[in-house]
Amino acid sequence: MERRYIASRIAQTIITLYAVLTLMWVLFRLVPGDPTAMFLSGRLSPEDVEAIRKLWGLDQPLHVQYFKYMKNLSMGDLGISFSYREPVLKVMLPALFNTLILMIPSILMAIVVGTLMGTNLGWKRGSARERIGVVLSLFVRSFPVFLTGIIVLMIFVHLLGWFPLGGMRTIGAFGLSWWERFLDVSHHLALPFGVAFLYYVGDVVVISRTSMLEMIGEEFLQFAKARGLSDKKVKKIAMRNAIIPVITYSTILIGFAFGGQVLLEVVFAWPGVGRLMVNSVQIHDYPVAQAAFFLMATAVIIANLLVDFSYGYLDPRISIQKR
Amino acid sequence: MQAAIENENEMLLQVDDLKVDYQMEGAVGRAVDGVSFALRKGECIGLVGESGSGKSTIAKAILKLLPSNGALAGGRVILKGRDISHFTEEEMDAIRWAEISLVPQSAMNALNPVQRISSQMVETFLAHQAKADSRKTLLDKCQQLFEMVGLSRNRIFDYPHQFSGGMRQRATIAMAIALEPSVVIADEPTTALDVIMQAQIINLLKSLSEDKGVSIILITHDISIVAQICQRVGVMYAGRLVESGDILKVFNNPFHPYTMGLKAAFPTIKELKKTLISIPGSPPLLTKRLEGCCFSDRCPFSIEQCQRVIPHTVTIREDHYVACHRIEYAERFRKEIIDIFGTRVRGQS
Repeated sequence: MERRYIASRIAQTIITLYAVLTLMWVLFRLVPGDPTAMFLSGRLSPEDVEAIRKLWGLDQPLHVQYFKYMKNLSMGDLGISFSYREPVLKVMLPALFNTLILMIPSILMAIVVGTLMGTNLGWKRGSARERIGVVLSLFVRSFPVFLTGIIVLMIFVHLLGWFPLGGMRTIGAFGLSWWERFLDVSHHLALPFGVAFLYYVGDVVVISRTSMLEMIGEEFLQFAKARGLSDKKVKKIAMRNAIIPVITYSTILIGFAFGGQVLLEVVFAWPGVGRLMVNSVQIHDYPVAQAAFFLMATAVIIANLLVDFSYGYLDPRISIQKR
Repeated sequence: MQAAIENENEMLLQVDDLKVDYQMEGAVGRAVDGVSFALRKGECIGLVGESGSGKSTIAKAILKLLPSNGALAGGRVILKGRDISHFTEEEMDAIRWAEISLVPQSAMNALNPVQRISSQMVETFLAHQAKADSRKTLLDKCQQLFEMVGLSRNRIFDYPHQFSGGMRQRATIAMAIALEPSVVIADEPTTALDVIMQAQIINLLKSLSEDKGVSIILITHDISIVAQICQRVGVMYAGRLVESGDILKVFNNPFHPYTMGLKAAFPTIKELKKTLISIPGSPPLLTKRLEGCCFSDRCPFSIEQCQRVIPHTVTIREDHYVACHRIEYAERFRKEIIDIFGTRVRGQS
């Protein structure tokens, strides 16, 4: 790949990120309400409110606030959370970790299983299995996460009692070994993982099936068959070609994983980024909300960048050339 | 080209009374209707006819690569004395390419776009070898093949899109002869190419046939290409073989009005003043059940019998066969057909 292309693409990414940051900064200031409102107003005297505003730098003109924010951010300082009174990173990182151990495995599994299922369904076009598979994947796909979540909670927690109701760890369990802690978290993780998997796998199945359908009747497959390649090998060639759009979609899906799944995290009381983000917006905790949105935007934008770079490898017909 | 008449032993491939049906939205269309021909060792035969006459379907039927709505409705395909028309998929996988290979019409789409040509060639070898040669040996073999068809050996590591149309067709020809098959079916190998490339590819096929003794079935709508490399020809119309035999006999003294029309429809450099004709009308619908001769609707010499009775294929002379009710008037027809349909070549009127 050409170096100049990579450089210009990275420059573009930086500009995009800057635009996202600015836009978010402006948007949060446009939202009606005030960070001090979380102190249950009424009981605060106007002087106290003014003092807090001054402490947080909210009394300064907007453009001063903006430049200060940008300056601090450029030095890696995301600020201090209004509500937690702690550096934003210290609030964000544990939540991000929690989100990722839920989202990354479920999305990866959805991609692998979904691609295998989808390409197989596409290959067996017109069979009864294909029709059932498509209906089923559309069905799980169109079920809202909170509904699936509640149904799953009812069956596996309420009726069967196999799994804990929510959260990430058993409350009050101390002195566990590393291995016991791992088992405990896995036990809590199982249900939200399953629900997230079901939600994401539908789209992957549908996309990879469609992509595979487009392969059927391709001359290079017929030619491969004419060359005496077995059906299995021909199918492999079809899958290799069909997988390209799936990879695009998957990478972007992983980008979104950094933002968490708000509904899922609420239903299963999972202490992730999604909940943190919604919470911060509600109480006007600008530093945390901005950081959370910034993180998600960065992940999606970088995922897009990686997709662009991977295309040259995935599909040799796409080459990057100077115009 | 009548299979039964020939000596069985020197016959490489015999197609005997081949019938292919296509399921088409409720109706059944017969794309190939009782076609018989034979291919001798080292021989090059041409199948000509317009689009939809069933030429390519014959190729697919021989290789058992018919689309899912197509099926063999009768007849046999005998390769070296074995009837392969009833072979299973696994048995066919061994026949395909090792015994019968294919040069496709559109080399552009026939090669896998995301795989290097080298690995596509190597995988073809590997599919047919029980104990495989080393990759290096195979690669070297493939590079030799590349040189044989006039491509530089280093280009083997390219992707298909890095090749021009002519180069791609050369690459598929290199692939087609890789396993030294007894029969190469070339399905309109030059249709997608410009005239210069056409000439080069034809020369390449010709040299393969003459120098390497490769037997070729050339499928085309261009009788001038057939005339260049084939010893024998079969003229197809609406799924039937209307006339066949030695190329000089068929084209110099055609007995079927369709062959006469086809011949007169192509201009030649030698006869610039020649009158070109076009036959009005179009072939019958695939789904139409034909009572009589398939050409009777368009034939200017058609009589009542032609509409009613399917003509038998008769032997005019050695290696010249025609399916027409009115062969005794052929000489008169040859003259009249120009007058009936004649339009002057542009610039000559």
